[in-house]
Amino acid sequence: MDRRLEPKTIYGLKLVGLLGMGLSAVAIGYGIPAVVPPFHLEPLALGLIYVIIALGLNIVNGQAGQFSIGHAAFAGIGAYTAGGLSTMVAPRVFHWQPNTPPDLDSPGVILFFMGSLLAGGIVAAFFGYLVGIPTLRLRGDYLAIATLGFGEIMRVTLENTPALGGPLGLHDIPKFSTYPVIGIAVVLTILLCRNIATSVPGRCFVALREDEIAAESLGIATTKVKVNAMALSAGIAGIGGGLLAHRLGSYMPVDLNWIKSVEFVLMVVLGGSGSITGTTLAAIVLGMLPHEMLQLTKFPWLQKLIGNKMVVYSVLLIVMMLVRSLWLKGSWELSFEWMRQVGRKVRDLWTRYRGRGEGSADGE
Amino acid sequence: MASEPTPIGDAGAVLEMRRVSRYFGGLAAVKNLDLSVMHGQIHGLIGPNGAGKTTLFNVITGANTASSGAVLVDGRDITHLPPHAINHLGVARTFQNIRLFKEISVYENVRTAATWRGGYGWLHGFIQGLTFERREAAIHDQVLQLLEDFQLGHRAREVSRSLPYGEQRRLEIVRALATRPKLLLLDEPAAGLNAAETDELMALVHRILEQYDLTILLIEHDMRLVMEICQAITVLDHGEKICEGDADQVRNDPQVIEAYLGQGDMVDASDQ
Ligand SMILES: Nc1ncnc2c1ncn2[C@@H]1O[C@H](COP(=O)(O)OP(=O)(O)OP(=O)(O)O)[C@@H](O)[C@H]1O
Ligand SMILES: [Mg+2]
Repeated sequence: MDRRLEPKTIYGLKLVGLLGMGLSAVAIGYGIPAVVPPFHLEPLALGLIYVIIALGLNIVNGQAGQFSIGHAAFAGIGAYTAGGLSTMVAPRVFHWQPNTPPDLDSPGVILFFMGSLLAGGIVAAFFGYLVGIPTLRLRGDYLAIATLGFGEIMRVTLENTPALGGPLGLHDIPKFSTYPVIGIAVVLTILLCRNIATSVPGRCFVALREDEIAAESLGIATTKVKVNAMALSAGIAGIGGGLLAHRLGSYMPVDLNWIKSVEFVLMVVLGGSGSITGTTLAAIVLGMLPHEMLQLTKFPWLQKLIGNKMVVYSVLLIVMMLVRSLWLKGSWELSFEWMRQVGRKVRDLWTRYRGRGEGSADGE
Repeated sequence: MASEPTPIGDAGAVLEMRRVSRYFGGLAAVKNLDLSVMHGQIHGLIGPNGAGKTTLFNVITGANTASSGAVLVDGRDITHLPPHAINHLGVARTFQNIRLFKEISVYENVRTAATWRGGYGWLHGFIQGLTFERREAAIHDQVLQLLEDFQLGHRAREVSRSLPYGEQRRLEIVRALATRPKLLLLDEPAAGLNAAETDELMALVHRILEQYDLTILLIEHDMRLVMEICQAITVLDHGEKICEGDADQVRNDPQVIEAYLGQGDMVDASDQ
């Protein structure tokens, strides 16, 4: 930070970063299915998709310091939009016959699927924008209640919309969300969120969280920033929702339940409210948790003790509060800057260690 | 709203207020105030507690909108603009009770303020290509320069909340300067500082004035500071202007003496 990096170094690091991202996408897409035991593959896929939704929420709840408990609804909007396109429009476009599995590998179908994901994101962002305009004038608890209300309204509306399956929701959504697709989506989302956090929008969000009045006095258009944060956040969650629908194969109004929203909030909070790294890890762990807990049936006494995921959540939250100093409002990220610091520390320790071994004459 | 053309008033007035009032319910925190602040001056704003000084700042910066009257910056009507737009026109401020971005570093505090002048949009931020890197490098240099100029360079990495009080005040001024204002409003910059620190502050204010072509309007209870560095002083009481002039005129004005005597000692009427 105090030392200005040469442009060459910056571009070098960028290249390394992009390469790393590409490798991660490949690792998720092809490495995980090859290595991880099949039993864990499904929960892990869900956990990875939750990363996208949680990272979306992290923008509003973590970085911008607002409080939305409506993100299951934004994910749901994305899921219904993308899922609806895949179940109602795609069969007509590609002349799929009922009862024969569609060919999911043709370029046209893949393009259509990507388009439907994007459409889900855009519709969700639009709703985020709509919710943002009136509610972001509210603060703290009121905003939480308003977004909660929005989520419930969406759920009830979907339950009563026969065209979208009513309470049974959408079925037979083609399972496009394979591991490679998830890998690419997760990596792109992380990259986007990282770029947001390290540039003007991220700075505006943090300013908003830290002190709104100071922020606006420094030329930051706070209302616009809030609405944009909400739209961006909802849009990302919407894309996650679309992926989720195409993984699960069905999507129902109950998936928009506010409890689901609370789970996303938990991922962000456990991840350190603002930290992309933390939120990513927390989303994977919490996303896998309910399924992995099915294993507990092997240990009846343990299952009796912590057999409900809500119990686990509560314990995690309490532990987190006890060791809160480690979280530090999401200030820690896995980054080159951090690696450099660690590297410097290791070098210092090493020279000191060597210095002690060889006597004090050793200068460097 | 502002349909009438706004002729440029006094030549050289950076800030002009015309019969500005601000009511809170029935209370007139600022009442029928006329004020001109001349380019390049340090203009003091004094008055007993509750006189309406901070409210006046809030009206100028858009945090509170004037109930009536007009506020002009460089001849431009800003009465009904939102705070960020007023800042974009060159007005920056500090706060009576410091409002730093507490949990982020000193460097980030200043960089955040330099943000909107950074000259790139959100899309550049998403992509982070060439333009982005170039603009960011420029912002980075500016921020470091500012921090060095105001002896905060060695604090750059520290969380702003952990700075000593005097440095927090200084950082808030630096942060305001990062938006490159032409009018800087300082709300009790010497509050809580000891005599030595106050002297430092006075030197600092002079330096700012010389180094950055700007105008300063400052609220202060420390009369030594006000009398020493302000070329013009406006005295408020109960929201109204009761006196205006240079240090001598203000010091000897019977109304001013009365307003302060009603309150107590004129020399030190600062909060706690
Ligand atoms: N948001 C508000 N709502 C209601 N009343 C307010 C508000 N802000 C200020 N006031 C009132 O307006 C009057 C002027 O307050 P102001 O803060 O401007 O005084 P001040 O001159 O800055 O005083 P001090 O020297 O104590 O800072 C006070 O009576 C105060 O109670
Ligand atoms: Mg005040």
